[in-house]
Amino acid sequence: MIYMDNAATSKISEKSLEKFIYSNEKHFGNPSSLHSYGYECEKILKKCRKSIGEFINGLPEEVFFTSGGTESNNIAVFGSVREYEGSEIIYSEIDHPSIVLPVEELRKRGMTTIPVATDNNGCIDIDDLREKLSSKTAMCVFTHVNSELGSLQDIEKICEVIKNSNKNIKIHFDCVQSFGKVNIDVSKCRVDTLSFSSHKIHGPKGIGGLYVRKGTKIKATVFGGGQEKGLRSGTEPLPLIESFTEAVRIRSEIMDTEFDRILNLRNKLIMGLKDSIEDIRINSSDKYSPYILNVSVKNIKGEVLLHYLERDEIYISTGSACSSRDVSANNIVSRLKGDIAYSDGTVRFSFGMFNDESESMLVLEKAREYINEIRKITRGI
Amino acid sequence: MYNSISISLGEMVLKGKNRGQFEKRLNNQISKVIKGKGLRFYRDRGKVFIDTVDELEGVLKDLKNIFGIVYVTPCYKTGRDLDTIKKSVINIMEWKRENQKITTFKIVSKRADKTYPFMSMDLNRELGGTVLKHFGDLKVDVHNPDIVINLDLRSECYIFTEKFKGTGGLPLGSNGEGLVLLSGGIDSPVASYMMARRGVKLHCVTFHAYPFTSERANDKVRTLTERLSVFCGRIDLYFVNMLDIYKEIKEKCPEDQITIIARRFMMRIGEKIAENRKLDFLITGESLGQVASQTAKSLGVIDSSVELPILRPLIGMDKTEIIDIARNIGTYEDSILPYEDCCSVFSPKHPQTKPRKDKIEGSEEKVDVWALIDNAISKMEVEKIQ
Repeated sequence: MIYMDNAATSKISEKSLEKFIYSNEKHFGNPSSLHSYGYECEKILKKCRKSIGEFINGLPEEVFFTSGGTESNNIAVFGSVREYEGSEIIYSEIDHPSIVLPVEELRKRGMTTIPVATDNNGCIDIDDLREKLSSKTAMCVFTHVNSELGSLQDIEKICEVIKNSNKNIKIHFDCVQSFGKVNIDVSKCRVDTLSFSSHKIHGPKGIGGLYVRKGTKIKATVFGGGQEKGLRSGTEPLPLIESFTEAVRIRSEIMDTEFDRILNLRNKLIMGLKDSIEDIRINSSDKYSPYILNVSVKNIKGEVLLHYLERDEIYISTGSACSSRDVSANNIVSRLKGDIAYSDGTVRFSFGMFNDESESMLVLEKAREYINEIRKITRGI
Repeated sequence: MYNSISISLGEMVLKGKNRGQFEKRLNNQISKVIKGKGLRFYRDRGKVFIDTVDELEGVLKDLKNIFGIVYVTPCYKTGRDLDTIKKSVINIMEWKRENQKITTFKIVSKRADKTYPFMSMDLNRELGGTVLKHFGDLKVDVHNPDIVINLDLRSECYIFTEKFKGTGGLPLGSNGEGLVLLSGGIDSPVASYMMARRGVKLHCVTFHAYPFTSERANDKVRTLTERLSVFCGRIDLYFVNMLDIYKEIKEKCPEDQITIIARRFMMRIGEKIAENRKLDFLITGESLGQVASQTAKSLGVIDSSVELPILRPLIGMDKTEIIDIARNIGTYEDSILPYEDCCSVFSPKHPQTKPRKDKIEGSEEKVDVWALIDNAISKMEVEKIQ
């Protein structure tokens, strides 16, 4: 199997899996229990929180565990907004549904929602953002790395522009596709909240987190036993947290070398695609995450290529897995570039630590073969 | 309180000499519902009954899905002597009053057994009097009562206060066997249901073009067939890949004829499957004028590709009417899932709406029709859906 859909989810690493099994056997206690075994588990939980905080240069008390990116985004958006009527939220329409749909919900509740312009590669237009900031702006929510295009926003610059306009504006960044892949340093950017997930970095599914800068007021949306300082009640899933922390530990060791390796892999694939396939476009901005490669092929349907490749156990995507079944919504490429002859043929290759160059070359060979075959059959469909 | 279910049969009671055959089919269906539950059904002066207390709700629900049944009625079965009936009527009234505000009532008796010593009117009067005497606060209202207590006098007395509509139609399998051309859309599952309701045992064939279509599209058809099987019992579902056929048509025939020619291929494949399995006709969800392949001219050209009759139960229906039925039978939600079928993948921008048979046949001469069909059928996959 060649799995190049790591932006949708990734295979758990052996070490994370071992940690998960070990923790289930040895640390199954409830960290909130008063007995000494519960206390042991609480100490481990603290260590994990510290490790993850350190990974983004934050404090342990700024790390809150959640079920993953979607929940973190929801907590950040709904928990940060105090008033709906008369206040504004700025967002980007091309973001993941776990950002866009909570924002739409805020609109239904009376808040004014203002989309910011992006260039045709999905990068936020800073001048447009500056113009749209006003005394009514309560919050800005953006995505660090776009899950479909891989466009990388300048988080430091964006935060600076917003906070210079009004330091009380809350800033949330969805960092699900960047966490553990590109460097995030919360001490260098003035972000208030930031979401991340485990299963995109070869950790287990069902665990993630929300960074909340110390002093930031955020209200809970789920109530219960008061875990995670009341922000996210529910017994802490220690085996998932330990396994996730192991994934983060691995990333902290290999992130820089992996970045270069994946960049090289991506560049070679781009070169191969451009050289061997006619009428192909690489949908990439100047600043991007190398882990995502979005390509449009003229006069084919992306899904057809996907099904051709799956017969060889090569798995790619036509877009974000969370929204790719919604064919009623145009994909981002067609929204940004408007050229249906190309945008219908959009596919996404997303890389992970298990992909290597030989896989990449095989994918190139098969993609070339099948694109030609499909074009031969459809002659323009 | 209820201890029996009575089953009212529909138009099959009007059948003459064939009635026995219809009843046999229906009995089979009823047997399947009560199988493994330790129950049996029996006839009491022509009407079918199942005695049960514990399984009553579940059996009632399942019986409603059997074609040929117009009503199912939960009832209280009791003895025929007047005192027993009186006691039972009082018990039922007490039970009903626990959950319902009742101030007026009416008694309606019917005697299937005309030898019963009381006439219906006398029985109504006698029992009405008993109820009035027992419950001091009740009144008789023959026009708009809060509750009607019905008595059905047979070899036993069956008392009921409510009845539920069944599916109607004719028992499954009593009107031959047909092959449905089932897409993942809204129409063909409705067509399937309507024919099954008239007693047709269904088989289904679905056409895909993998890898131009997805496996999920096939799964959608599978789910729709499962929904249909609730009413129609076991269904054989045939999956036929049309990709090679589409390739040939696309390469050798005019683009605006693709839809019609592909449709004729589907009919021929359907006919071949039907012939092998001795099925009586093909069934489609076509509705006149809905799309290019469903104009009067197109349907004529499609029909001429096969000899087997093609039944189109939706031919005169509006889309909104079809959607209403799809919602009722529980197929609508699955039908609107957004997976493309092979028709939409290869549909030309401007398909012919007034095709001419001679021209279409001329185009078909350029492809080896029967070799392509034999090849497609040889790779066909079959699943039994229950």
